[in-house]
Amino acid sequence: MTTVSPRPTSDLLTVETVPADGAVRVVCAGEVDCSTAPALRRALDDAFAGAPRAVVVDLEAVTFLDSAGLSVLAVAHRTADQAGSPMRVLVGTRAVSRALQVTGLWDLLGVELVVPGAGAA
Amino acid sequence: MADSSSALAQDGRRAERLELRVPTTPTQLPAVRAMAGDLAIRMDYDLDSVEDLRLAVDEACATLSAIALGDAPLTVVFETTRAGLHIDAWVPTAEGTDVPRDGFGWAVLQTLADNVDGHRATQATVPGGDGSGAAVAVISMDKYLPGQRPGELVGRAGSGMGSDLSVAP
Repeated sequence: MTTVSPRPTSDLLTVETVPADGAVRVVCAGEVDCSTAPALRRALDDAFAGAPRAVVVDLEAVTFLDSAGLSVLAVAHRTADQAGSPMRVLVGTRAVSRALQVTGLWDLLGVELVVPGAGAA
Repeated sequence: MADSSSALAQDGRRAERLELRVPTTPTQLPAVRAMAGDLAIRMDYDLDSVEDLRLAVDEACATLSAIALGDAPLTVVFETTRAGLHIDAWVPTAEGTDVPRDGFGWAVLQTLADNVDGHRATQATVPGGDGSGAAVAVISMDKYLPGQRPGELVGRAGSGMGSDLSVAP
């Protein structure tokens, strides 16, 4: 499996793009806020640009998500619809699930809660 | 006063005050929200409310950082009371700068806090200000502890914690 990190990301957030079987998995770890959301946006833009079979946004190791990151996910959801590439969002922390729930994005994005220790979905 | 609209700030229950002053660079926001989360955990907030507070403080600080004058610092004052947390965050601004209240971040903030208000003020009217008439923008918010919403308040904060904590430089 090849890991491609086309652009450097800050220490606060790491974003790795992992192509696999025609789909793309964008694996994030750290905190998504106004300073790091642009890195997530670039990674998702790049992911959809390749017309993948699907895009999986793995936020399992993300411990903070604010409005800047929520906006990126909402835009990516629209991009996914237009591009015909289904997007899955995987969440593993209360901070991220709470932010998605209070803003109503949980239902819109069809977020999947990953049970800790259950392995990759 | 910056917090005159706050029932929580007026109820005389101020038990502990903590002031944080940081540069308005985005890399400082993690420290501010970590402080908010730590305070909330040490109080009796449920786990969802702890996350709400981290997020609310982040949204307020990010909003203010975007309108701060030059490299002026961001000041965040946490007041813990028996009823909950009252938070005032402010930055010096150019004269006439309003707190933007039309974005997604503000909508999120309103969802998370029990009371939230953003307005112009001066250094003389904000906690930790220099007393001058220079312009600042303030965001004030309250987050009540479970069972401590207005109307449910009983008794007084009888604690003797009068000493202020400050980690401002």
